[in-house]
Amino acid sequence: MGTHGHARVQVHLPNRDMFVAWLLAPVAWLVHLGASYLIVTLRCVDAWNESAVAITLIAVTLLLAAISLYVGLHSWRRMRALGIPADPGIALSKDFGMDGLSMAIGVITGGLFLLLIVMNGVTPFFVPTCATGMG
Amino acid sequence: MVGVQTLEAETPEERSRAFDDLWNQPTGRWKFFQQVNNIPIAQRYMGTAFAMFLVGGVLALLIRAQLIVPENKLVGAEAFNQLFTMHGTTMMFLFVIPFLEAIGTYFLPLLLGTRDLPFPRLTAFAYWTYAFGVVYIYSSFLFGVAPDGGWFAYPPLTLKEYSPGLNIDFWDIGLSVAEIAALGAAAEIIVAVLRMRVPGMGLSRLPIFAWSMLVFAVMIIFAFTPLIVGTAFLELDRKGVTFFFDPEHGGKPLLWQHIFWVFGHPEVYIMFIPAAGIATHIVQTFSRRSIVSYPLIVLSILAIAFLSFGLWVHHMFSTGLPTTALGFFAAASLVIAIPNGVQFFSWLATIWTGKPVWSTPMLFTIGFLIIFLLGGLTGVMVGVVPFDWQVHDSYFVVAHFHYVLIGGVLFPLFAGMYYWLPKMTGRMLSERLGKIQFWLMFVFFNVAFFPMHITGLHGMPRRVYTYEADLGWNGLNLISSIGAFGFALGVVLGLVNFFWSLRYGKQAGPNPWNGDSLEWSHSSPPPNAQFKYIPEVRGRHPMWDQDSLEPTDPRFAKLVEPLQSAPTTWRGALVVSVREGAPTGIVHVAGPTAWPFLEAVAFLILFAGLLIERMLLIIPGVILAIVALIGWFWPKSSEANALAEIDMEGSEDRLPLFVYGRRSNGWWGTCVFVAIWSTAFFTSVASYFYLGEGPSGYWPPSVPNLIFGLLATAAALASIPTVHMFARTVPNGSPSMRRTGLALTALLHIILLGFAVLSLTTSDVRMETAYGSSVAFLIGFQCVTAAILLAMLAGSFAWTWFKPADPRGWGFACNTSLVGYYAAANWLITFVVISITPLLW
Repeated sequence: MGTHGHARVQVHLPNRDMFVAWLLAPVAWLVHLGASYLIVTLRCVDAWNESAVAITLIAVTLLLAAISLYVGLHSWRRMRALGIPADPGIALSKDFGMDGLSMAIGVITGGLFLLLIVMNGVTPFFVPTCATGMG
Repeated sequence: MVGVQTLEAETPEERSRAFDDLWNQPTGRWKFFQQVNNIPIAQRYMGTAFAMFLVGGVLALLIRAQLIVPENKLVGAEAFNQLFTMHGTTMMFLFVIPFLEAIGTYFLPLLLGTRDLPFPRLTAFAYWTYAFGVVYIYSSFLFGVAPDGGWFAYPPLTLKEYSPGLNIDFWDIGLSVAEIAALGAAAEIIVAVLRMRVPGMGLSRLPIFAWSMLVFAVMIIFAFTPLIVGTAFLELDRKGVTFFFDPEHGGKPLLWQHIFWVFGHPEVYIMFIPAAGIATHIVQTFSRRSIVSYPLIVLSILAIAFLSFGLWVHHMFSTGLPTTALGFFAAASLVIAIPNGVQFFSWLATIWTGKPVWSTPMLFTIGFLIIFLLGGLTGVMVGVVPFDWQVHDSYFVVAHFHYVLIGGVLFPLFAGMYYWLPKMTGRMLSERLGKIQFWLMFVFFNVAFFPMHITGLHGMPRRVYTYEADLGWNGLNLISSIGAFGFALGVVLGLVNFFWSLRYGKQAGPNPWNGDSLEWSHSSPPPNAQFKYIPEVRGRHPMWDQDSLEPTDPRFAKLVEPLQSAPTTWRGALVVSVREGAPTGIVHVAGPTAWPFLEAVAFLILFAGLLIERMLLIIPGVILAIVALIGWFWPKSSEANALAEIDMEGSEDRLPLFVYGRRSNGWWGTCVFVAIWSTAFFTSVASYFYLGEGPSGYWPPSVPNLIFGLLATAAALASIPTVHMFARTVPNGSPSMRRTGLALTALLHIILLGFAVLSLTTSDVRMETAYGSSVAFLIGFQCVTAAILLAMLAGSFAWTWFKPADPRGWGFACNTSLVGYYAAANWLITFVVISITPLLW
């Protein structure tokens, strides 16, 4: 809590912000992974149109990437509103209490899982969507 | 005020002695079986788990002795199968996880500043169940039927047709026993870390080891539970009851691989995360500075935990899955290197910017960094699908995971032993022997395992008991075997050091390493009566930053004052708010008893009966289990003392006693149980859909009887208001209304069960198909859920009948209501899954 001369955080953020910061981005990724895997395995065996599979995957990717992006931006805004400096050297090393820790984590999870969702999502552009592994 | 009458009559010395005596119980002849305190139980846990490490190590040496030269005849193929199966099983299930839980059991209360774990009887039960699980699995050697299907037990090899002996049954059932122990310990850890901390220790000041144990425990719940379901499927298949994995009946062997690796991959990180937590403490202490970027370390732990649940398919790259799906899991496999890298750089930066002291714990930590880095790099390599196809099931993979597991887990564990053993024994280990041990282990580890990369690239497959002389593998195998024996020498030296230190080691004193966390505030070894005086923390490093641990915040000081060296007639502990660590209440902590031991004995008898299919054992096992459970939860006089001394309301300057509802530990424990149970249910539902999917799927020619299903659903829906009826009578409602609600709920769930069973038996669903198996399993799951609920309803009813105004009964009713809501939801989902979705497909 605001040691080392930095702003003391007095007001506790609501649980909703905590949920967004800690869980929403990883959950978005898990949903993306599960949905993508299901779409590919279920639809490919039913001989669904391959480009339709790719389009669905991209749509799912965009939606969940947006959620992850929201987590990062929302946590960033909250973090700044708490008076925590934008300097990562300070934001990530000093003790700004549970709210500060949570928002810092929200910013980074938003970015990390956004990267992962995008990495998963671009897969259909590089490999034949419904080909089977090992020939 | 706590024990006002008692306290006024006592001097502070008398009170202090009474407090110590209370926490030092039991003292009688049977104390070994009645002990529940975290420290003695953790010591047994560690002793047993370390013994299993030595046994697993001996098995590894036998494997390496067999492979030292080509065409060796030391052991035959069958014995070799048993050796590698039991080596893997022992190290993964019987050593690392229990050992980590033991460390958590011992050190979490010390790190968190609390007096014990929230459910000490569960601590004892977890230990005894684990110990009996060990006896169970290893007794297979006595009968000459040691498990031989690999630690992964893939069907169809492990189905009855190809493994007709009891070998796999020993593995299957014995493992379930050990997993139950792990789940019990996990529940303890979660509730302890979230609620039982020192004032001022908000989550943002939690020691990193506590963070890692919290995440470890949550991961155990979501990873071990699917494995228990999987082993139940496998055992039922082996008994000929179901056909989940039998392709001739519509089953899919690949279902096992999915279930196993949904457990198996997080398992790697379940082991790694606490080990890394230990490493963080050591880096911090021996670099003489706080860890660089606490938030990033916490983030890394969480990110690794999440990502680890999305990687399981990278163990199945060669099973013919669609390439796009492989791409998803390859991406996750590569990205997990990011949070690992963040932790890695944080450790390096801490050392770089600190003033490192190169003591033995630090050396083992550096060894960990180097070896784990190499294991991580080969992990990235096998995360690349085409490369994995080339090296799959070769010695390259053996090298990779030993670098990860020995580097990432064993080295930090040895570091932790050198770091924390002085706290446990009160004696310092020899630095000189420790450093020799480190260098022996570090050098010979690389001698043993580095050549295996090359052996694998040269094409040597895993799990072969011998090889021909002209394949070019001779020299590499010889070097690996020499390395293994050298490594074992290092472990033996560590043992010598341990026993030497007990007799000749220097006195450690409370804080021999100048550590920063609260365990170092206690004497070495710490007493059973920990934190007689409740401290307060005001930062992340109380031993570095604070001159005194005494509460200075007047709010905290006033609230915890009644707990200083008290209570003396019952075990009491402080509860704090989850986020900020502000004192919120007091809980009763259960005292010594032999019931958890007897419950574990009951499990042993029951599971032995299931192994050999003898009702002569199963029935006494069930009866003893029920009796022991009743004894376990029988009203305790110490609880009555607590209720007599502290009121449940509290006030601005007085903490309340938490007995029932959301504020009690029992409610939190029940929530964890519901999480475990719903994970098991989710696994069963996912298996149902998986079996139905694809060209070889069985999508049902017939479904359970819809009319009976609807009637069961009506009963489930009707039970929701009746659960609500008895739940809302707590605390001040009418006891007769509570009884009515309880009775109606029981009646409705019995009706529900009847209709659910009828919906299956009156339909055309054929039991000898995988489809029939999965439907029957889901209905059977509902039956077990209902049985648990009925037992809880009976307990609540007894409380309401005999002691309607007793708050302990209210607590029982609140916890029962959670299970009641869950049981109804369980059926509603089951009905939709087995009766509605086939119509929509």
